[in-house]
Amino acid sequence: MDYTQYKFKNNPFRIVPAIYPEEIIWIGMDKIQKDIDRRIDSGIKTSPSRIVLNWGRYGSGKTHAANYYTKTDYIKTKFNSDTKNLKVTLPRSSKEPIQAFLRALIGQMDFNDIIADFQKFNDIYETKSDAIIEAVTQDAVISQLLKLFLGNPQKQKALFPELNEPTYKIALRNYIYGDSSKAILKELNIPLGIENDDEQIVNLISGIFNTITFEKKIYQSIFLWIDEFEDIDTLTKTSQDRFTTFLRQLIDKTPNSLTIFLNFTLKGSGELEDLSIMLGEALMSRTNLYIEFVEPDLNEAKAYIVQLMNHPLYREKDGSVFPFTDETVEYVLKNIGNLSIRKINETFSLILELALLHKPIPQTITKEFIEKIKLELPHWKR
Amino acid sequence: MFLILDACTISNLINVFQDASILSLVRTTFREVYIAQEVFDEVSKNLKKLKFLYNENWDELNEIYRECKLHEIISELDKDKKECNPFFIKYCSGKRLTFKENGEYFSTLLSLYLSRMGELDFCENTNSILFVTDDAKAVTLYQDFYSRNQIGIIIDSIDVIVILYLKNVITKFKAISYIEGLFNIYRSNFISVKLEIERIRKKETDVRFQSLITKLIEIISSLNPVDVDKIFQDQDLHKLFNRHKKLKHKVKSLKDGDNTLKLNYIKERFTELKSDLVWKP
Repeated sequence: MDYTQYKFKNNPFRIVPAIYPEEIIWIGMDKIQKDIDRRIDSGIKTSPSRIVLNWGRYGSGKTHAANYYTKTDYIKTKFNSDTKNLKVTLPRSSKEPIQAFLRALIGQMDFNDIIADFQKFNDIYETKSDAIIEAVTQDAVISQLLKLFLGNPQKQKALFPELNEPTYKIALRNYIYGDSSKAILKELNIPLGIENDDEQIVNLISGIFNTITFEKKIYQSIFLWIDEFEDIDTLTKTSQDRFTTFLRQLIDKTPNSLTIFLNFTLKGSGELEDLSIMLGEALMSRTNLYIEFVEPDLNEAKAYIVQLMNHPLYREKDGSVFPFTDETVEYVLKNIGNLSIRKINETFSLILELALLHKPIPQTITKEFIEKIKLELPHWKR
Repeated sequence: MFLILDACTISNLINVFQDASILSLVRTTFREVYIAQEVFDEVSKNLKKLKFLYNENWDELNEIYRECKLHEIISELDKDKKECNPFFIKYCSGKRLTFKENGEYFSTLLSLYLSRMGELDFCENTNSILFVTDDAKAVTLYQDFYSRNQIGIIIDSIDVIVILYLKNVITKFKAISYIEGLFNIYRSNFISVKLEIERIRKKETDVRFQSLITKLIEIISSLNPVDVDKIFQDQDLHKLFNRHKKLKHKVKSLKDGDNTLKLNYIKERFTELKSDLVWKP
């Protein structure tokens, strides 16, 4: 479809998430952004770890927020701070949800980056490194393991170290991904594997987190977003309990510099009381911060549309809502029921498409044109 | 006290706890616990259906069901229950009730028969039968029959759990966690519909159908029984279902199971038990 007709480089009303970080943009929703920013700011400046619950209805922008805050440079630029920003989607229908979570998390963090961070840590703390690692992990096996992250020159068996990864590093990666064969254990000189022990996985993750945020030197904070947390009920009851216990332990064992954002889509008439059924008491009692992804009101929705259409990604700023008129925008917004960002995008995207398919293509999209096509808009209230 | 278990109750108890011991607790607490042969068959059939939901866990679940030794609780009098079928048919035609020959129906026959056939005398066990079913439709259909014919009452699996808690067989924590688990089981129907919808959304490029998908999700997420009922009257959504047949089937299952009402009910029971509105001396 040729959007240049309406001076757009592309359809500004996205209905699928952007893939490239530079295309993930934040428009409008100022209050929500301020709320999240405040959590980020206190996560960077203060030490206690927290769980923040992001709740809102379907299509209110929770996943978008997770993408924006973890995949773009926003935090780095705005807060002038180095933070580890991770987004993991809740493992669904998995028999081993904790292992699946660990794999997803290590994948997000990138094993090589973890190793690089530990090298940095070693450069800063030098001879004290080992003692710090022992202090921040409460588990002998894990601290033994994490010390290997610092590098182990004696163990470099590769003939051409500059060409090949040292074997201990490969072994280390395999170990973390759950391989505890005898050969691996021997290579690493570690007595046990971590595959079937949730507590060890907690110790491993908290050990990594505690080390790379130690004294806020390498990273000032870690922000971990767990998206689609409401899908926890695709897990069996046992797995659900395991997962919530796991999160509770993770926050308990990482007392500093970790903020977990749980994205939760509310069902039903929006009561938060559902949550204690879903999260379990233990986790609920540790969740004391809430961010509500409120649906925009008419003015916020209008502002969103103006800003979006004039974003440099889509066209040179002219401040107008062309090809729409102010009257059209208001008319549409007033007739599509509860406003959600998703609904606004879908409706306006469809209107643009219908206009461009119309013969002749309307010069401006007026209220009269909307009258003609309104029955084709699924969100239009009849 | 006789406890007659329905298929959905057995499945709920086992699926929530993922443990066979709950059934032994029920059996030791109530002593006379029975099921009908047809219910036994239905449980095995339902278990197969769970395979997609529990995928990898299914073998384990299968093992738990085996450990429950359900065949042991098929009533000895089960074969004779059909003796009261002519009476039941007469009752139903008199009351203009329509029924299907399903597990609840056979359980009801068994309940009636057991209430009449005592060890020493006829009608020894009137009003001593507790028929446990989690199927709301069956409750509405058979409730009057149980009381008018002095059989007993219909309760559900939450009631059984509450009794176990009152009799100190299980802790309050365990009772609450059962209700939580039950809530999630009924909610998982919504989730499986949601997952199907999301699968479709990923493939769907037409913005019109994308909007329809959003509309459908909004209605389903409202958990409002009235709105969910209206889904199939909506012309636009009809187009979506025509395009994605499998989806129609899933949404229909949601509607048929009275899931929304059930969730609200379970929530109520959860709050009651949690805030000590069930008296325990």
